[in-house]
Amino acid sequence: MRGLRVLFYETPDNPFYSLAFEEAIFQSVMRGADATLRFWRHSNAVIIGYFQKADEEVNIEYARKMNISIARRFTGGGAVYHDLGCLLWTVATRGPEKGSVSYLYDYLLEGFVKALRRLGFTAVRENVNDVVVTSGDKSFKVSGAAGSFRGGTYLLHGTLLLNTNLEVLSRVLRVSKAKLADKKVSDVKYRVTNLANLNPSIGVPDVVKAVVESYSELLGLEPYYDLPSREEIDLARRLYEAKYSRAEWNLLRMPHSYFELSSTS
Amino acid sequence: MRIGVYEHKARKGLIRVSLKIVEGVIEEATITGDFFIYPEDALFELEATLRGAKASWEEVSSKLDEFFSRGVELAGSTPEDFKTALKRALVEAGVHEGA
Repeated sequence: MRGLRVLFYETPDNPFYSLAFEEAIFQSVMRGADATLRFWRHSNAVIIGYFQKADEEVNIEYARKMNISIARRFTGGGAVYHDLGCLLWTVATRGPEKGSVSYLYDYLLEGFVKALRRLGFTAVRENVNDVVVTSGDKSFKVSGAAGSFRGGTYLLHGTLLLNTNLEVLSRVLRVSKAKLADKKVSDVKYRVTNLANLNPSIGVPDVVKAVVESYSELLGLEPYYDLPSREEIDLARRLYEAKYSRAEWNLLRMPHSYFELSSTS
Repeated sequence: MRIGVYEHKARKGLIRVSLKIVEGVIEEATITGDFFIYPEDALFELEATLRGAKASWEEVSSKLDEFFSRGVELAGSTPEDFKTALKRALVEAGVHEGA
């Protein structure tokens, strides 16, 4: 590997394409591209996990009224709301051949947690894939992550709430009764908040710098700035056409095998 | 036709099972939620395995045992969580024997 490739590549109004590009990065790193760190955003979208069904997770009427796109990603985990106040980050790298969950949610996610510590926050991983920041005697969830791995290639992507409209977030996402009941008795108690509420002086450039430095150190690779390759863009376009732009993918929860283009080969 | 839906909260993630049972046979089975399972597409294979199975806990639990012995990995939930969700969904659909 030559280094840690850093991409700023986003299509904020087209989450379907930017999620197709996520799969393209995963496949590209699988085929030998350098470890890649991507920063991106969406302007107004709900992204659901691979195993979720849109109508179970999203207040569809409200989403329609507010012009919120509903898109599905290829990683598991829960639904999230993204606006431009939410910074998205992705790390894709080769790792141990014998794939394990721990490399994603312990090793790679810790890189992001360390970035928040570089910014002066007391940050920890909680509950597998949440990132929680402590302020005084209170804990706040500011980030959640989800990842996938295949044949020694790993992709972990996550959110960082900087200045997201939390009212829209809470209205567009449906929370199940089982989860609400659990929250009352669970010992994990933290609310979702924006980083801006904890330290308003921290902006996107500070976060990007800290995340680049942290993953550079974790992976032992020198960062360099790059653009997507022609192959990656071609692949992302094919994935977009065949899968990510389709209702069967986004709303009907069909698996990869339903679509002509296979997911990883 | 009987429908059984059950939501089970694992340590991390919700496992929501929906079953449609026609004449003692599972016609539709979906397992949705914000859990993590690897490789991901194994989940859809499990749903396919359950479709057409006899709607009994004995049959379903043996299919689950076989599925989890194949080496899928979970994060934040256990095979027991999936078993609980399936078992309770069967009960919700009116299948009580062995439950």
